[in-house]
Amino acid sequence: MRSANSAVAAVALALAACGNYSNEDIRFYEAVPTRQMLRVQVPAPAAQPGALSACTPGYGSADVWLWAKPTGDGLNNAIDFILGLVDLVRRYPPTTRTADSRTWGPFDDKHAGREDRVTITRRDQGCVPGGPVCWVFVLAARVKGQGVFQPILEAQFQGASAGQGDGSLAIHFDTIWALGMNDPPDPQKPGDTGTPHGEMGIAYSRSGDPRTTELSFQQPGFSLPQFDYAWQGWADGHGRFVYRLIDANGNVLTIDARYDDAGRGRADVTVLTPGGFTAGFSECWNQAACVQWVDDPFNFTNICGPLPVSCVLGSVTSCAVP
Amino acid sequence: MTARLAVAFLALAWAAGAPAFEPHRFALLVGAPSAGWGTPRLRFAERDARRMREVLERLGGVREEDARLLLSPTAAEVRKALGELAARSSAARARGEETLLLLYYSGHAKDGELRLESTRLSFDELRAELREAPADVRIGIVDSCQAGAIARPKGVRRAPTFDVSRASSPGPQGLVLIASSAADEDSQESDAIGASYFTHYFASGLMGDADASGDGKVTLAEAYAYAYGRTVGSTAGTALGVQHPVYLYDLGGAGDVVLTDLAPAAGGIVFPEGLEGEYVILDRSHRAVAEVAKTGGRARRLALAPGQYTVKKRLPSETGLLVGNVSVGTAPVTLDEARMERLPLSRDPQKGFGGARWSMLAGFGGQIFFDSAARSGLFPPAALGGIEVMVRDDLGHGLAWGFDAALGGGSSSLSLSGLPPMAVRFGELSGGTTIWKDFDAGPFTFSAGLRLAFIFLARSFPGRTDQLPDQHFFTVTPGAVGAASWRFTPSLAAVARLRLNYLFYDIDQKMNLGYAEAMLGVEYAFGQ
Repeated sequence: MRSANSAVAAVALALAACGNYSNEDIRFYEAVPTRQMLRVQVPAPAAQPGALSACTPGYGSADVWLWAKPTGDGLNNAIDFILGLVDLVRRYPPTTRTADSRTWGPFDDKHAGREDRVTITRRDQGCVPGGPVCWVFVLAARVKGQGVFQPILEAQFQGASAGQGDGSLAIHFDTIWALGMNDPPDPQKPGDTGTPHGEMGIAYSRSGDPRTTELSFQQPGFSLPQFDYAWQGWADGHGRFVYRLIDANGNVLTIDARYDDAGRGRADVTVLTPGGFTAGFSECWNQAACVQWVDDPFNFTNICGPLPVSCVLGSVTSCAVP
Repeated sequence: MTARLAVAFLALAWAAGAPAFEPHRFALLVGAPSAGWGTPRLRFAERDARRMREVLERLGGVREEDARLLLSPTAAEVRKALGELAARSSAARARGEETLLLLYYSGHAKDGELRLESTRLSFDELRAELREAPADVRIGIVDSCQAGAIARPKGVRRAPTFDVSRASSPGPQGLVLIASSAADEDSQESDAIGASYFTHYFASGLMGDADASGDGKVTLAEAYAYAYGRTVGSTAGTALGVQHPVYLYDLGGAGDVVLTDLAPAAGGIVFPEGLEGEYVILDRSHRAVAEVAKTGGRARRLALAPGQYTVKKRLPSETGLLVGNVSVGTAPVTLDEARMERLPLSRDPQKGFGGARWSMLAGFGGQIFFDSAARSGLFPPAALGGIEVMVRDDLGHGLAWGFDAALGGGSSSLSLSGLPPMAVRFGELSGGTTIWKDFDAGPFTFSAGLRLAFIFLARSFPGRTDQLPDQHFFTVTPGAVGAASWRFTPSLAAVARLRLNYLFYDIDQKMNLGYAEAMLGVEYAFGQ
């Protein structure tokens, strides 16, 4: 009898299929956004921030716009970091499959004594009433073999395809710290501050025009100040980028920049000085990032020189972007 | 006539009473079917060598550790093995033992040389090696074309006259060379018996049919005399003409050389006194393993290894056959013709057996799944190219088995609801083993059989590699095979093959799927 059972088991084992050859897996993968999908795509000006350029004498370069690309790159680094965690699911086949979920792991984390697990659950009825199919993503971690898994990255992806859907991701840096999975600053990466604290969120929409990506930093991180960054990109190439930067004098500049497909644009800037003074100015620039018009009531830009209290230069009608 | 007299002489000389010669026996068995490019491969040379080893180990007193079986060796490997056995024989003699060294060769020979793959071993060298070998008795048996050249060297001396006064002297000493054919003759293989004629009869004789004296021992002389007579008789009507075995006898001393002793092998088939006729004993694969030419008046036992056998007797005047199955164990089984079935000649279980025949098939075709959802989703139709190596009549008459491998693939578009169509590139590797039965109908052969295979599928998504990882799938697929072939030359056949396979898929959900593989190809038969 035992030999008969062994024979049956051997036959069953031999006939058992193995692999990851799955159309349903493809649906799960399709729901997960890639880094490329969420990237902030700001046109790169020809000049670098602070660089002299061949602009009309007396006008100078639009420095706030020259900072847009580096800021966008910083945001993309943050996106890459989060999507790098999400991409775990593309590097390994699912460990467990059910009709509406896939589970990866637990895997050993790169931090010794920690393990990770990823689950994606499909909700055909949507995450909101009447909404499209929704995918709930949770990357959780714990001290290996101990306690419950604690979410460190949670996300929702709405729509069958991330390339045409909406979604949001939130990473809980404080949980990462609590689990001892935080990283120190990387000396190989100038300006790297290591694992930040607080929470960072990403919201995106690729279901319409414009496509949007928003990043919310509760704490400074990735060399960027705390802010809710927002980027919108239209199919015809024009866009809007709301971002924040701190200049060399410690002024906090919050910039709402609109640009066209050629890189011409206009920005409305709010300035908060270290002394608590709030000011603002507007300017527009051409394809070479040279100021075409500026309205600077407090002469913050210093374009008109040190003397005038208020500076207006050029005509707003010369702006390609209203 | 001269040959017959020589046989009689040899038989008389060796059959005389003498002290028992119980040497330590060493045997080198060589099966060399290939003589290199351009020479037809012999079908049965290796089987001949295996068969001789089996008989000599089972009945001939050759211990397993003292036997060397070389299949498709080079000349250097033969020299080395012969040297090793000679060294062992020398060591045995140093211990005071009498020794016997036997070399058996089945293969090609031409122009005074054994032809082993692309290497050569001359008769002169072989003869010299045996003559000088440190054994009391050296026996060389060469079953090859023009083998008789080995037995007619310059300076051969006649055998010494048997001297009764030396009855108490040491046992026989010297060299005996036996060749399956004369120096100007070809040695023939037989499809019907699945062996060379000479070896078949020599081995049959060693199993008991050559025991002319009825003492339960088969001497060298008895075996040779029997094989000579049967070989000449059986080849007389062949297209290549009669084949005459020859010998060189250079043996002195007293006593006889017993090659096999039937007594320790208590089992076998006993042909009782009253039976007469020629009997062929077939194994379970319907391959001839022995023959008995039985005359009335004395029972004869054929010492067969335990197993299932079919005994066939051709009735006089081509009126039919008697066929019966015999189970041989450790005790003798007496053949009872009354329990054998009478069959027409057309049902000869041995008819048409040609031994193991190897061939290779190469072809192209396609694969398609029966389920439309699977076909349009997971398993789109694929183009296939493959090869198969097969051997017929190895497992049994009309049975064939083979190993196959195929590579295929294609590209398609995968459509999943709610998602845009995505390009897919897929490939597959499959391999399997098939056993089938052939049914001949003139130049056509129809086949049906069963196959067990593995299949490995892989697919990738061009342009989406950052989002969709490559996928693969492996499983085992049993199935059935049908084929039709048309042999348009002795070596080539056009083949149409259809496989129906079962595939169990359980990644997304458990599915029992079926698929078909159709292939058109050309089969090349080796050695035709």
